[in-house]
Amino acid sequence: MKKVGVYICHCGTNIGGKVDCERVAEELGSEMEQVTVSRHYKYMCSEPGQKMIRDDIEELGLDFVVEASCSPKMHEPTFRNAVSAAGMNQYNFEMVNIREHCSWVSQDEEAATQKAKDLVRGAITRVVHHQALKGSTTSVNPKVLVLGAGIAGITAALKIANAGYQVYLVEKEEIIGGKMAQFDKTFPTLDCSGCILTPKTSEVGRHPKIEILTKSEVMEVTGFVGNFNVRVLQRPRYVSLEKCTGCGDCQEVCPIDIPSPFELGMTTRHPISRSFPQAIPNTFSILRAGMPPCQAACPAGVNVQGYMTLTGVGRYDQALALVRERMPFASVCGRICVRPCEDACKRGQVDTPSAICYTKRFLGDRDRELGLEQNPPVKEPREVKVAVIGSGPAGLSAAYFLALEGYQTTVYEKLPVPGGMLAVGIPDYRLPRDVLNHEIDNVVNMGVKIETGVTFGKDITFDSLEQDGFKAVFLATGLHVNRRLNVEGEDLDGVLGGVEMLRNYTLGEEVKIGKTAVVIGGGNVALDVARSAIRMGAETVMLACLESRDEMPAWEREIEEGLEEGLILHNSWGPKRFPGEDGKVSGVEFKRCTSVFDEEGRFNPAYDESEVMELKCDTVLVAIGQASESDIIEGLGLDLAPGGRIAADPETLATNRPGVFCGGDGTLGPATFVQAVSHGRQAALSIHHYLEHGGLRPVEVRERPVDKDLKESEQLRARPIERHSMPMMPPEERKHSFKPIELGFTEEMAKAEGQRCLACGVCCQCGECVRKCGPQAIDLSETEKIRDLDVGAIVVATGIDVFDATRYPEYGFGKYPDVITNLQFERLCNSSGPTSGRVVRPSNGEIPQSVVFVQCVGSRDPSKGNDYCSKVCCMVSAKQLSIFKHHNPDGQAYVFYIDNRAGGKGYEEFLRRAIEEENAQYIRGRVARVFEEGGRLIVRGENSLLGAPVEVEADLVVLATGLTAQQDYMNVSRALNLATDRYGFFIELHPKLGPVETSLNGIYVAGAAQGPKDIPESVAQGGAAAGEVLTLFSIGQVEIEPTVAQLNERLCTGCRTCVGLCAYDAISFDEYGKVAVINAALCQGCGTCAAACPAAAIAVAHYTPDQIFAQIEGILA
Amino acid sequence: MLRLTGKPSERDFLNEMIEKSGQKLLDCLQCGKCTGSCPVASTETGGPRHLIAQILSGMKQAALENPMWWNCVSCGSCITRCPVEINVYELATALCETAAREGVKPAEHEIHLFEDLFLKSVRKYGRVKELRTVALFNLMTRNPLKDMDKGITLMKKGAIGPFEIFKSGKKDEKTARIFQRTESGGEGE
Amino acid sequence: MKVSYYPGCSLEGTARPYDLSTRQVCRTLEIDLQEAPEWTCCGSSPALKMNRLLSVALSAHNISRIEGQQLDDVVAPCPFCFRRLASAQQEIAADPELKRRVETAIETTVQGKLNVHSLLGFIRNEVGLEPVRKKVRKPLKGLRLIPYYGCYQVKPPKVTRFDDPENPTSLDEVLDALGADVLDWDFKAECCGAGLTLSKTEKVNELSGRLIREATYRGADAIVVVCQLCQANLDMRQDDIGARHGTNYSLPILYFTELMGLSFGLAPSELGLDHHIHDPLSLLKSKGLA
Repeated sequence: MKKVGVYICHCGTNIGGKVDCERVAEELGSEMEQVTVSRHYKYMCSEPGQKMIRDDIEELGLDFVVEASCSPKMHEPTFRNAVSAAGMNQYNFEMVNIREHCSWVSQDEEAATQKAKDLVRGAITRVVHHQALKGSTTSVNPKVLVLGAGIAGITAALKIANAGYQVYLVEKEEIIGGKMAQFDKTFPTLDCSGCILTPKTSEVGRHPKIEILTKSEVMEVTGFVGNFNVRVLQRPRYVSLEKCTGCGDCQEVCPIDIPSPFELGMTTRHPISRSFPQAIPNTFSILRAGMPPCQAACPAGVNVQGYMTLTGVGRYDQALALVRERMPFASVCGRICVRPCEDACKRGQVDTPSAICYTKRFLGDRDRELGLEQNPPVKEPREVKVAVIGSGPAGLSAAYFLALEGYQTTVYEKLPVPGGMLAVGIPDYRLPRDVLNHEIDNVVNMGVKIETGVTFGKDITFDSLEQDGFKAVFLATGLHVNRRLNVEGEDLDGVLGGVEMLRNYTLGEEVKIGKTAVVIGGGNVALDVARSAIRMGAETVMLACLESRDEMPAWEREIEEGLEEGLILHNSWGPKRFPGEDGKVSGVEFKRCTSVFDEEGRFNPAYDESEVMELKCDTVLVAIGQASESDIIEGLGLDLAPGGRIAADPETLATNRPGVFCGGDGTLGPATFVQAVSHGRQAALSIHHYLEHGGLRPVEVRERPVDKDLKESEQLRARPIERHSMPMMPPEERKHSFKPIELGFTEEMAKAEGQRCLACGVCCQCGECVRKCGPQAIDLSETEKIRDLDVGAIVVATGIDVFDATRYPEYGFGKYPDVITNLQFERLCNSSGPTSGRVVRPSNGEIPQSVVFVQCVGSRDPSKGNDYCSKVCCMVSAKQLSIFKHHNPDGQAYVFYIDNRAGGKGYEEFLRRAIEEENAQYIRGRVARVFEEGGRLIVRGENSLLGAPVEVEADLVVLATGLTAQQDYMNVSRALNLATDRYGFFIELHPKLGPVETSLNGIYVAGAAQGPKDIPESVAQGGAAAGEVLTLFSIGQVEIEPTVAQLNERLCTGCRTCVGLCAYDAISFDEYGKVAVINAALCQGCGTCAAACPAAAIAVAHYTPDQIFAQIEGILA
Repeated sequence: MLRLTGKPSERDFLNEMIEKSGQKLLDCLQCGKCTGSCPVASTETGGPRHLIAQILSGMKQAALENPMWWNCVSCGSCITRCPVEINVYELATALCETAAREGVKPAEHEIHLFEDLFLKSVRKYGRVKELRTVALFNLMTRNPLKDMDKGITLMKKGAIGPFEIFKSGKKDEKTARIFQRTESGGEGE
Repeated sequence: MKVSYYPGCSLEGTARPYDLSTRQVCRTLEIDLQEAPEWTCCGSSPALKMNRLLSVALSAHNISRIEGQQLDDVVAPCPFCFRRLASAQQEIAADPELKRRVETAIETTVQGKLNVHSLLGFIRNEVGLEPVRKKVRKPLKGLRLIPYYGCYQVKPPKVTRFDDPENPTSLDEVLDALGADVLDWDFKAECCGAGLTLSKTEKVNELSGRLIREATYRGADAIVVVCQLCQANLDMRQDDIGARHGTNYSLPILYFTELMGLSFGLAPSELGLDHHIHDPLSLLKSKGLA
């Protein structure tokens, strides 16, 4: 018969007050024969109590011990040590919690006693099934990761590093120092925050054992105490820590200003900057907010923000070079682009979009007029020859980008002139020839050969090209054939195709336009045709189309201009037939078009035959769309896509014939100029891959996410400048010539438009700093890095955030510049702050006379979800008003408070000094509202000691904003799977005895991340956490609890249920044995697998079924 | 002077008010944001915080005689800003009902008089006859000519008819019954 | 759009201009107002203070009347009536025992599923700004208006569920849609003294006085209100206030519906604009609006 010793603890009156410990001890002692000895004692955890157990084990030779007292969380380790000290295996011990489970939760002494007795009985019947277990040990990797480089993290890092261990200090921001780096002075001693912090930060900076990872966040943590693997995401600084000398030349040339986050928006900074001169790391870094919407929306991906910004500061050459990195035809694009960039421009949400397109045109035209040629650098010439068929925008830009790569490129054009539709499809008044030709010449000057009058499929073929040594061909033949209406009379004399008409006219061939012309079609081509007809002398030009006025696909601006020039619209009419007299067209008969698109939005016109009309005319111009020259296309032996176009892979533009690529309208169908250009570039890159690497690879995603929501910071950047409109030639003059109707932007206009840019991407990657940087430390192409760090311990010191004062609209923060937060006040006092240390009213720079401090903004306010006291604010305000008084001794400070919380060494005295020496008036009451009356800021609240409302006229209002958890606490919590309270503060192991430990072994928490704290407390916790880490390291190895899952391989069916369920990746599958394999080191003993295993092949040691059932039986007995 | 003895009965009134008003008075932080927000709070009438303080410390008589809740115009500023969302106009109702039941003399005679006349008019006609009520009030407060000038101006402009004051309109039994039933706690006669 | 209309006592008493202009404006906006049959007073603040059961019962009675109309939405121009209707529905929904007692008192049952709108809320959120803009014939150019919401329209948010109680903007937006110059101030939802106008006239003079003074300081041509109690206090007490401040105010206090009607091209007399103590007509004439 095994011997069990039972010990009932009174825990003072905690248990003894409700549970009759004596009775429980005696009755169980007599009732159960396993029980050799059964005692009760006031404090079992005390030395006499522990000795009692040790002695019994030795003298009575107990096999098992049951201890009934407080929570195992509190004292299980204590008693386990006690029994092992007496030579008993610690797992032959069982602890029962009769405090939290009995005495504390019941008023009924009898019930409490009964329950206590049952629980203990269960423990006794259970413990006899316990087995002696021995845990294994594994060595500790003596490196630590400190997460967060505020004062708590810094303290921990330094102590651990000084003990000689490697530290990774991971910080989210650009610099270390945390909130303390923003403070001016510290309470209650008023010594300068910087003076005590910067020595620490620089020590960290130079420390050989500390590696700082800025702009970094922990993504994932795996492993266990002593052997963690931490995955860290490191965002780019774009400036090399090694090369940057901190000279600051880059700042000089940076064209962008944004509100400084470090200065809490009270001043601006450049995207490339350094928070303050003593910052660590003492190098610069660049803030970037992702791709701006304009660039994302541009099919060609032109860096719009870049060239707009540069234009805004008058650096036109650099601006144009930036354009030409992605867009060979600045002047052309600036005239005919459909401007997806301007639709996406966030300035449009403030007032009107920046005139991006016109600005680009200015840059191109200026380049031409000055005879400069701003092109990106051309790479080393290569011997490889590439042929491009078609000299439209797609073909030419392909040639351009191939030329940039150094390829020998020849462009073959069927027509006598190069430019494709640009040349023969767009009339001069929109795109003058000389402008186009200049930019084509620019391409030629880069080494591209253009041969016109060469028809592909006739003069040259794939085979001929191959024989001529061309290694790749890009087909961009476009769409030049007029679609036919196929209605009666279409072949009558006087019925012309729109595109042909335009082409013939530009090629100088004779075109007969009568007095009255009817244009059929509602697209941009139709408008070009109609407006050209007007210019060619037609007296009346009418345009009829199926679409209603607002359905017309043509560009609104085009239509408006057309109307100005006397064009007459006939909307919602479909041509029925062309009546004619002796072979000559005499008019057009129409039927009413009731709807153009069907439910699915497909083009599928419906007519009302009963409603008809006729327009008398002598010329009809049909412009209802274009098709490709099918006769040629079909002869090429290339796969075709539905619709008769050449099939090309959307990501590589490769056709089924190796080395042959296809793009532009030919594959896209009717597309825009800028789409064609982007296709050209895509083809060039794809061809480059093909020739360089002999394979195909997708060329960038063409659909980039366009960020639409206008952020407040962006709105703040909106300079009050109105959009300039394009100077136009008056309609009367326009009608009679093909002279360009848009006269172009002046330099001033373009510059102003550049300054309207909101810099949505923050850094615009214009490259100014790169060119300026002496040591060449800047790399704008830098990307995010993933670092995998192996460490033995982790210290979480992520600190706090400040409550968002805008959540109190009644306090007017954000509305009134003279209502600021107390953190902003710190910057106002700080000599390296926005006012270099002068406490002034942000509104007018005057020194305030009356300053009102508003306490509990976001603290002690359940309705805002922050019930807690932020602990530091009372002292912060006392400190800040003292500083204010030092700046303005005649000034008066008022503090609205609910209760003054001044617990801490020297705190109460400090607060009294604020009242007695600085003569601050403390008004007991929470502020009701801050408002403006008669031009004065008024703070209203109750003076609850007088029991009536009071109003104070204020020059400056300082909101004592509460401390909150970091906004992104959830990411940290998830990555480490660390528990937080409902406010987002991390939960410590024990509020009194385990302040820096967490429920996870080897992960410690320090500073305000665990709850509001002041500097001394944070420092103390940093030290405490370091102590814990060093203890772990000096032990050098960790015992792995033997209470882990164990697999009975004979029972395992290999169903893998457990593998998927294990939260700690402790279970893998042995493909040969076809059984699960449990890694004891990783197993946390949670038991999920054991519960889930259908074959009951898994059991968790110390929680085996027989033990659990025995306990249940005992309790129910 | 208030003298506390620790007897449970000390909290009876507090508990009654919590129950009747449905307001979590124990959550009150005594921060005074309500009084700061209250348009009628003043040194004379005090404010919501002070009223709640009286209730919290069991000062029943003082609370029932407190003019503050008579002055309450139920603007709702208090609950809009209160960190623990205590609605003072609902507390006022609880106090007013209790005061009436216990025959406490209204601390604000004229407010009480006007509101009483107002309800009488509603009880009688179903809809309040504003001008009659006003005239009646002015008579009973021995100030018959109060606001006469404005009345005349409005009459001149034809905004109000000259005999409107004497217009009574038809009685409304239905409404009268609603009054009766609610006075008897809604359980009918 | 067909909705139930609950005018409330004042609108058939001293606040006829509000009723008049509301009906005119809704007609223009093609909103069919169906007046609730046999509605009674909501009990206003007296009932709310003196007898909760009565207060809820009176509104419940009206709700039952409205439910009889088979319409989902009811519009009440008077913010207090609106707040009582909305509150009564919430109170009986939250408390079955109260519902039972109320139903015994009013001798009928209520569903309590109505969408209760204030007039401002209805026009801003249900009708929307675009239709309003479309109807504007005479934009209120150069008219400097200061929007005043008062308390009941926005507070307490739990009941009104409308706009930001500290800084509402709905009325600003409506007036802006009418083409007026809308002024900002911090007294949008500060109390005017409400029902104390007779019993505590001095208090009202103090509170309304602040509003008048600040509106004047900000250079307003007129104060725009959504509540007849605000209108009455600010209009009636203005001269006494002037005397109190040792100056002379004459600031027209206008219902937003009157201004909507005006900008829709309706005649001032159709809107009751000639029925205010401080006559707006000279001002409107000077701006070429009347």
